[in-house]
Amino acid sequence: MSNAYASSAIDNLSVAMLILCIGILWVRSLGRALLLFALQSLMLAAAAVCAGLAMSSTPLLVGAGLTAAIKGIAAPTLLWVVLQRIPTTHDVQALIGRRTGIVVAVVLAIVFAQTFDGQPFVTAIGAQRVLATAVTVMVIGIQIMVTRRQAITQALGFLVIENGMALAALTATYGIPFGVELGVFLDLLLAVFVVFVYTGRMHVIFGSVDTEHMRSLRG
Amino acid sequence: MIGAAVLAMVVVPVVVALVTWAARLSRVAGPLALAASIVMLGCAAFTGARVYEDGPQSAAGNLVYVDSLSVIILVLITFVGVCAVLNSLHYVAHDVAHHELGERDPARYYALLLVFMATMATVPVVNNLGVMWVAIEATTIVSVLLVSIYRTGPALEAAWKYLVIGSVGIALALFGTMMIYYTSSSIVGESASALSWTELQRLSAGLDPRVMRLSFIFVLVGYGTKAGLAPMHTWLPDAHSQAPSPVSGLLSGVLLNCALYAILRFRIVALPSVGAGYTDHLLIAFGLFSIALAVPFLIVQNDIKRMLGYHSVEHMGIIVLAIGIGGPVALYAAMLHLVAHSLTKSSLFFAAGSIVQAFHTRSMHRMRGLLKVMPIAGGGRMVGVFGLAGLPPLAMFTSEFGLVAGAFQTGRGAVAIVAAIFITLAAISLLYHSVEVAYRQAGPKATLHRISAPVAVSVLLPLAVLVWISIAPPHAFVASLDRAVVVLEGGQ
Repeated sequence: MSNAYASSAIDNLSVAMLILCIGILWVRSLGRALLLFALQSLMLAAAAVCAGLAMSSTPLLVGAGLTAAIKGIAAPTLLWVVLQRIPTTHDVQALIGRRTGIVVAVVLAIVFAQTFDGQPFVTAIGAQRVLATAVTVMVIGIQIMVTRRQAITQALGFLVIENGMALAALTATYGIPFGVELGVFLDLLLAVFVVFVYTGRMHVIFGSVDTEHMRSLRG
Repeated sequence: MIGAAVLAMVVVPVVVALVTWAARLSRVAGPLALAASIVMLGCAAFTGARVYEDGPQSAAGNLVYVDSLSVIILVLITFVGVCAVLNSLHYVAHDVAHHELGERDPARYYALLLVFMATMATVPVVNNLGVMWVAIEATTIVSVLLVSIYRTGPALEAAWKYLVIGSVGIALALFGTMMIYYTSSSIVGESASALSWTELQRLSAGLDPRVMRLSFIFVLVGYGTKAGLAPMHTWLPDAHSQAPSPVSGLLSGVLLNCALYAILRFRIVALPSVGAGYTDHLLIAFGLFSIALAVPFLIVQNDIKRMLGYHSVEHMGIIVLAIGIGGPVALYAAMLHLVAHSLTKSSLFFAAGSIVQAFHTRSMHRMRGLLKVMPIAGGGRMVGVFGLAGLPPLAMFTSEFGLVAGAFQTGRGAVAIVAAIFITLAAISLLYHSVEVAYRQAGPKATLHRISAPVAVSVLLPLAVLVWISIAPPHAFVASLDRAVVVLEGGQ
């Protein structure tokens, strides 16, 4: 795969990931949000494959496989199981309205496109937008975490942040050293597992996974 | 030899933890954990002695790097670790007897505690930002599980908040780490050495300043979240107050240091390319804000453990402020404050654990005659309180004085005055709350409450060390701090 082809593919995949992010903000059903996230992870894996082929780098291709397996399949499935176990209203509950949230996200995308413009942020194979989109995906992940109340959505926000970060790492720097990447995956998997355990406990103690019930610690 | 010592320090506790957990050795879990923690302390002391005599050491193909700065953090982790295990022996037995913990929980608790200590001990010895990030994230996951070991609503709430806010913070730090890799790998190529401290320090002047500025702010906000700097501190008082008290002692006493350590290292790497003005202003801003924000919460605080949590926010602010002020005096003050805070705060949390178990409440309004009811825990607590308030002759007086002096020396008198006002307010509120608890007339039914010998040791030993380094600091201690200051200034 030639560099020019790979870099435009990566740029386009990163924009698709950004659009899926806004989709997660848009949909009401938690199940659909999980599906969009799984799709986003697969796009990330595809971007990693492009970078791997362009650089002929085996670790990047292995990383792409791990991304697809862990973020594309394992993590969404685990959260899906939580959804099935807990009779929750499938609606995503937001502190700010959906439309406001999307306006905020679009403004963020524009601001970061400006901030990360220019020479030091063009990746070596020539992908120009990927760093800006990666940061925007991260920040929208944070937005999902702080504006949503369902524990599952908050976990989803964290995974979106991770995706943004992995996009930056896989494409801008062609991946961090492989040992470190394995450690990051391990930590991520453990964190999702803790979420899995805690949502079960929340359901037992509070009868729901709405974090609004957890407001006893103040001051 | 250094490689073997470091390896043992991480592997021994993990193996003991796995055996304890897999074989459900709830009865002997405590003594086993104590043995493992003593091994860790021994390895740390050996490493420290080598670094003290022969200078910075590296091992395992440069994956391990230990200098005077890392040794201070490392020895504190393992020393407070031994005290925490000593304190746990009675604490856990008490809670099992009172059915607050289940029969099988001790094995789980000690296994998590040991893994927690091992992950913390990894942070200051690895010579790779990526591996260090993995270790710090692992400390979050393990300590979150420790915070929620009581299956109550508030404990779950605190753990969830800690997991969510901590994970976001640490994710930002990973992004900062990647940006450094992005600029350094463009110089040395794609390899693990582009993430090693020693290599980065060598390259530091040539790193792209625009990327480094962004990287430093991501790292500062990211690891600052984990270090409890305001305004990212909101998880800290919850997690530190809901955790079992020995764990609170570790969280407040040494885990915060691990996050600070990461910030300190990044500062060393960033300084040559971005200039001192940039990092200093950010550190001063976060430091002052943390000190100022903690004060109102300290004044109205009634929960004995939450109060200590807010004091951690304040003291992390003081250390970061001193680093931001810079110069040998303030940097020395920062290192001294870091050591004194670890010793004092862990002892105070260990004492608070026994006090809460004896009074069956965390509310300071309902504790009466602490000195009469619990002479050792109460007396130790008062010494700790005096230390934390920065009263002379204890070390925090010296370090806070050094902070103010250093600020005036570098022409930042206004910063010093504002900081001094808030630090004094925090100290007054601490003394007010604590003196009342200690001397208020005990109720008629109050009886003398004895604490077990290991608990007494865990409370008094850190204080004894604090008094020692305050009044007659041994030469080796002063020299180690001096060398850490040299490291902070970009030397070796």
